[in-house]
Amino acid sequence: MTTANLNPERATEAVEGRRTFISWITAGALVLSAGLMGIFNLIFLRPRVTYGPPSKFRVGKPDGYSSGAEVVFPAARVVVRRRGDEFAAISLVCTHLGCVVNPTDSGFDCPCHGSKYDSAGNVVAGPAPKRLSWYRIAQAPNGELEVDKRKEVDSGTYLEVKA
Amino acid sequence: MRISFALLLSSLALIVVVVVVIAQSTDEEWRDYQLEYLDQAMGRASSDTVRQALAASGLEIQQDTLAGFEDTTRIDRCRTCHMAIDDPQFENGQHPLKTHPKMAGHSFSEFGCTVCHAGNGRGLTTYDAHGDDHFWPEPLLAAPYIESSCARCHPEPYLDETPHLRRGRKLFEKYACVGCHTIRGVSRGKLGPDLTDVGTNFKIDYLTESIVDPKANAITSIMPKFVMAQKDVQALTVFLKSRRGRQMFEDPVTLRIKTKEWEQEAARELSETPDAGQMAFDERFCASCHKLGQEDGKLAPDLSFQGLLREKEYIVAHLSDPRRHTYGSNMPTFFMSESEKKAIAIYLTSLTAFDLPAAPKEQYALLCSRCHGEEGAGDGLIAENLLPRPRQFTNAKFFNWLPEDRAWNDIANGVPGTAMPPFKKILSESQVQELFSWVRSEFLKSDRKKWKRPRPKTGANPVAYSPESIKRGHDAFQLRCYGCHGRIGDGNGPNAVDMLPRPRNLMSTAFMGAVTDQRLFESITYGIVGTGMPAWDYLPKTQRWDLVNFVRSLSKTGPAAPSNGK
Ligand code: HEM
Ligand code: FES
Repeated sequence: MTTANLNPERATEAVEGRRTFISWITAGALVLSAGLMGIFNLIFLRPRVTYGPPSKFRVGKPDGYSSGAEVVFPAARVVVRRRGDEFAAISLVCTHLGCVVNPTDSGFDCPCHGSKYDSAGNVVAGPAPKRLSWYRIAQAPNGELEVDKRKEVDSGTYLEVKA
Repeated sequence: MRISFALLLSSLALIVVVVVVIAQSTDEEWRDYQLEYLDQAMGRASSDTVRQALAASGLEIQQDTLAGFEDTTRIDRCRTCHMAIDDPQFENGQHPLKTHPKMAGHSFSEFGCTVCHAGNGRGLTTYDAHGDDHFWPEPLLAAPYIESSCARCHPEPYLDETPHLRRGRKLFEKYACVGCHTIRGVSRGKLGPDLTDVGTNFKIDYLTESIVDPKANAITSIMPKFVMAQKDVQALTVFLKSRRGRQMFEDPVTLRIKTKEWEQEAARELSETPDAGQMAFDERFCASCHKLGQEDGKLAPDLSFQGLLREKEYIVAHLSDPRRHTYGSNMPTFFMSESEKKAIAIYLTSLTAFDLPAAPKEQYALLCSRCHGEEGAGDGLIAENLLPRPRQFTNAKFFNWLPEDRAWNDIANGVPGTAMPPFKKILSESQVQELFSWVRSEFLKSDRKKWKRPRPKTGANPVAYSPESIKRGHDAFQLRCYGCHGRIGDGNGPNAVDMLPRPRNLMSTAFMGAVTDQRLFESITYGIVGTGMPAWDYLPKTQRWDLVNFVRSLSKTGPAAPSNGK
């Protein structure tokens, strides 16, 4: 405080400057922690697992499918298709109001309001607004195929599994 | 100025706290295991397709949702850490990243982990998931205890893969546990607690402890302490752990029907011959507790020469209700038909071969030491399991007080209400006296003192046996006697556990039927030297007689004073 005694004006300036500096840091720290807390509370709100049927599930070894086979998994509402050495998983849930569609020779038919899909899941008739979803299929370390219903892929995406 | 500094510091502290909390809550154990797994699996993967899949997978909680095991859905998250259980490349891995051994017909997605291993399926730390918390009822089951889980679905005969369980089941009969304990579908014993659900209610350590040392958790337990190899204890623990009530494939309705049928199953009939009796004796595993010839369960009396000790009627009545004659017996009541009881009684009474040695020392070793102990300290091999306990001959006060002829009478005719049998068919009158004087000289080591003033002879009961007298006796009893003899006079008062000899059970008809009013009055007046029973001579005389009347009213003997009493 010795300088303040010598030159009061300059001392006041210095104090002013320090005050604004401190206020800025304080405000910044508060805003930052509020922001972090906000973000993590939002993340926290989203459940990491739910008790429904698992969205990721195994569908057996590739050798279990003959070429051209289409195997329906009723509980998961998914059909697994083999074409040559390639595999794909297609949803069986109608995009209109959620009925389970039936595989037919030409594709899929919905029993509820008559939507029809071709074998790639594209809508060919009826009220359905969108094509059927294709899900990611991958090979697990023990050789089994694994469908992940949380990951949608472009229609016509096949996984090639070499024997 | 100061205030703004304080504000600055606290806002900085706040941000540090927020960052630490966030870091802590995102730094979870399982993330490390998953990173480790993905890393190692990449190197071990069998094909490029698998490698691609591994590269695309992120860290996430792995959960199996299992329906059909209980009324609610089971949630197992074990695979969050144990990621390699179905990855054949990790045969030589380290826990938790290790391949699970092959289990035919049990897919992980259908059975999960905790159905067999126990633990807390929802836990996401090792401590939580493995059920290490003291208050989690189902900690992980290590080998061989995990065999107990197989029995939840695979009923008897148990699988070849579960040898401990199979052995435990057999031992449950061999050690005659079936005699005392009920397990639905296995046994019908009524003396001990029902064990149908023990596996649910208790952990492995507790079960083992209860087998090894029954008094460890319940000081009043009358379960005998079995002489058992460690291997047998383990097998029995596996079997007990498998007792978890309703099996997983049983629904409540079929279970009720089965239980009904089980309860109604009839006892079998036997021909009344010694051979049939011997067969029943073997099949009921009587020698798991008793001694007979070479076999010795080391828990209960020697039956090798039972024909010289007890009558057929006594044995039949004893099998119907072991506590009818010996009020503290811990022998179980078996569910036997009359003909089976008779066959066993015929067999036991046919055992009359006994060579009496000449020397009292050897007589004592053969006849007395199993209960009274080699040193006469009342601590023989089976004394622990007898109630009333065998007398301690080392209790000089008592034996210098006990009139000689009463001791002789007790040896020759037995002591009703206790396990002490009559020896008059084995020992002649003079042999009894000889044996007892040997006992005195060997164990007592002090001489009988002469009474300074002889006790006056007790006359007939002057107070009539009436409701009023019993009421007065009752009131005095609840004031003075209940501490040892118990409120109802069964000898189980709060102080009883710390006393040897134990206070008498005054409700025992067998014992009370054998003593006269005079003896009761004298025991109350003078107390019993060398035991916890004090003298009550300062109570008014009529009150002591009221007490005699009240005590009489406790047993079924009523007021009748026996004519041949002691
Ligand atoms: C309830 C679900 C779980 C079950 C049934 C289970 C089962 C097992 C079994 C049987 C072992 C082998 C124990 C041994 O050989 O001594 C083991 C080891 C291990 N588990 Fe789990 N586990 C579960 C959940 C978890 C979770 C969620 C984690 C990680 C947070 C975890 C971490 C470990 C670790 C670190 C080991 C090695 C410990 C050792 O060897 O001492 N477990 N578990
Ligand atoms: S739900 Fe399929 S057509 Fe309406």
